[in-house]
Formats: sequence, structure tokens, C-alpha cells
Amino acid sequence: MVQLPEIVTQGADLFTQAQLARYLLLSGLLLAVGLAGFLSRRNLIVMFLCTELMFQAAVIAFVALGRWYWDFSGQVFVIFILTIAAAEAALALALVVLLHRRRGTLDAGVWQELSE
Amino acid sequence: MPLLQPTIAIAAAALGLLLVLMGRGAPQRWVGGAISLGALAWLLVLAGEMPDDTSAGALGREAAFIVFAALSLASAVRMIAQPRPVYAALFFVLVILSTCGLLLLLEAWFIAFAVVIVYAGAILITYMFVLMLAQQASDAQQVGEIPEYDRRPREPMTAVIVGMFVALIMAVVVFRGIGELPAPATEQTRLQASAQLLNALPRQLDRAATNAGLEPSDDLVARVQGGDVVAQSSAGLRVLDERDFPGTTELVGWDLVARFPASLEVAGVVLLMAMFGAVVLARRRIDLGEDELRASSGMPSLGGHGESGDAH
Repeated sequence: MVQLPEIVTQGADLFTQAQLARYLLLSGLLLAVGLAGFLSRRNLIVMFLCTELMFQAAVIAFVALGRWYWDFSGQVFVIFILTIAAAEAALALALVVLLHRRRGTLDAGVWQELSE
Repeated sequence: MPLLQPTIAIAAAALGLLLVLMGRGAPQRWVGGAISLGALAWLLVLAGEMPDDTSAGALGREAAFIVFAALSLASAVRMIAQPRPVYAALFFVLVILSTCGLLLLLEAWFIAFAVVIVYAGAILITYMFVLMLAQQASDAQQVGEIPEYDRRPREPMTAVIVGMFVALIMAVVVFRGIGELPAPATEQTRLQASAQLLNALPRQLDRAATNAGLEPSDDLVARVQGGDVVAQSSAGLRVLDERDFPGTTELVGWDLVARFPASLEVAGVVLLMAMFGAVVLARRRIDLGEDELRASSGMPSLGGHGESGDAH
């Protein structure tokens, strides 16, 4: 049997509060960057990519807190996030293809008149 | 914890991001990127000092966290600043890969690989496919030229300020609230979870008992005794080796099917409905007007009347 390296076998008791804070902060920063990207980009597909970036931020927060409490519903929730992200990608991209066939551009600004 | 330094760090990061989004020419963008990354690194340093534990394992994990965190933030910034959509998608793959490194550090083995397979594998391929499909039309007439709507961001100032606000709120929550979190799991909770799952998975319990030198029998049970998980049957009692404990993958799987079976079914239905929806949407026939038809094939608008066109 292969001897597992130390870093894997005894990882369970090394998760400190400072580490949790760093993971949560990183998750918040990724969310902020994703939000800034969603608001500033004009390409429909890149806007949806930015929402996926925000999903990734949520994934990190869920797993880090689940690790803190040794509670695996956080990771179960990530599985559901993956499901929803896949469903969202399929529907959003179908819509984008539809819009693109209509106007021949991916610019979100072209559809501004819908709000009027 | 004082909040002045995190606030300054976030403001500096936002300034750098603004420079990245609005800068003219490569040098300004690179300087902006360096400023924002430096500020973010400062913020992560503020969040907690290095661990007291200076064994090689702990330092290695610390170094790996720093590398993956820097990589994910840098590629996220490049992703939203990149004018070419295909490159933005590729930078997003880099974000996913580095967050999966973080998930591995958090011992979420299954989630890390599931995210790589589903996100970087399936979802991103769909995005790339649609991107390339959509770029064909415009590229035919102006090869290699990036369209105006990709080159110039829409109101980067507002976007960065909103992002900064969200980051500030997150930082306040983390810096203020981290000390007030309920106590984390103790070693006892972990052992309890392992013993519970071993009892739910008889074959794994049998294997663990055999490895510990105890003959499997019908009345074999696992329970926590002191700082160990022991297997007990009428034949005797043995301390189980930590290597035979169920891993996080087994724990997640058990949680999924034992605690959330209904949600699992709902997730399946959601995926099925999304598939139907996508097929219905994509198969829809659109009757384009004359102007729209000309616009989609790259010709200038007539602005008046002409011969009628057929969409299909």
C-alpha cells in the first residue's frame, strides 16, 4: 500500500480561523469582481460568464464553511449549484443564440429598446 | 479588528481595477492590474497571520493557498478586462482550475473534480461553442477586428464602485463576524461522523474491522471511544485505523442521498426541463424583417423598402 504523504492524512486538524477568514474573503472578492464584470461588459455571453464567476465564489464559501463545521451539506449544495449552473448555461445560451440570429450582434445595448 | 486598513486596501484594489478597465494602452492596464493585485494580497494578509504551526505540511498548504488565490483573482480580473470573449472564457477556465486547487486544500476531493469536469469540461465548452458560432458572422467582413462593444466597457466607473461596495460589505462581515462564529467542529464530531457512516455502510465496516484484525460478524458496530473509533462485536474490540475511515467523498454522498433525496430528484427534473427549454428555444423559427436580415448578414441598412426577404 502506498504511504500517503503527511499533508493529506493529517490535514483534518489544521483548519484555523485565520484560514477560514481568508477563504471567505477571497470568495467575497471574487464575487465583487464578477459583479463588476457583469455590470461593465456589453457582450451577452461574457456577462453570463461573469455570473458563473459569482457562482464559483459561492462554491468556495460553501465548501470553506462546510469544512469549518465538518458538515457536508455545504458540498451537497455545491452539487446543486453545479446543476443550476448547467441548466442556466443551456437556457441562457439558447436565448443568446436566438437573439444573435435576430440582430447579428452580441451587444446587450442593442436590446435596450425592450426596456422602453 | 480595525477596519481602516481593509477599507484602504479595497479602495486601492478598486482603483487598480478601474485603471485596468479604462486604461489606454498596455502599460496603464498592467500598472492597474499590479496595483489591484497588490492591494488584494495585502487584504488577504490582513485577514490572518501565518499559522503557529510551522511544519512543512502547514507551510506547504499556506503557500498553495497563496498561489491559488493570487492565480484565481488575477485571472478573474483579466477575464473581465479581456476584450476578446474567447480569451475571457479561457481565463475563466483558469479561475476554475485555481479554485479547484483551493477546494483540494479544503479536502473536498469529489467537489474539486466534479467542478473541473462539469464547469471546465462541459459548461465552458458550450460557451466556447456559442462564442465561436456567434463570432463567425462579424468576423467574415472584418477579420481579426474586435467589435466596439467588446473593446469599450459600459460605465466601468459605476461597475467598479458597486463591486467595491460589495467587497467592502464582505470584508466588514468577515473581519467583524469571524470571531463570533459558532465553535467549529471538534475532533470528536469528526470521529462521530466517521463512526456513524461506518455503521451505515456494513461492507466498509467489515473491511475496516478485517484490517484491524477483527473477524467480520453480524453484530459488528463502530463507535467512538475516547479519541478513537473502535469496532466492537461479540468476538472482541479493535481500534480502527484512520486510513479505513470513510473519506469526504463518502460523507458527501451519504449526505446527498440520506438527507436530501427529494432535492436530488428536483435537481434531475430541473436539468430535464432546462434541456427541453433549450431545445424549444433553439428550434424556434424567426421571421426576420428586411432590415434585420441585412443587419445579420453584415450589410448596411436600406432604411426604406426593397424586395422582400425570406428568413429561411
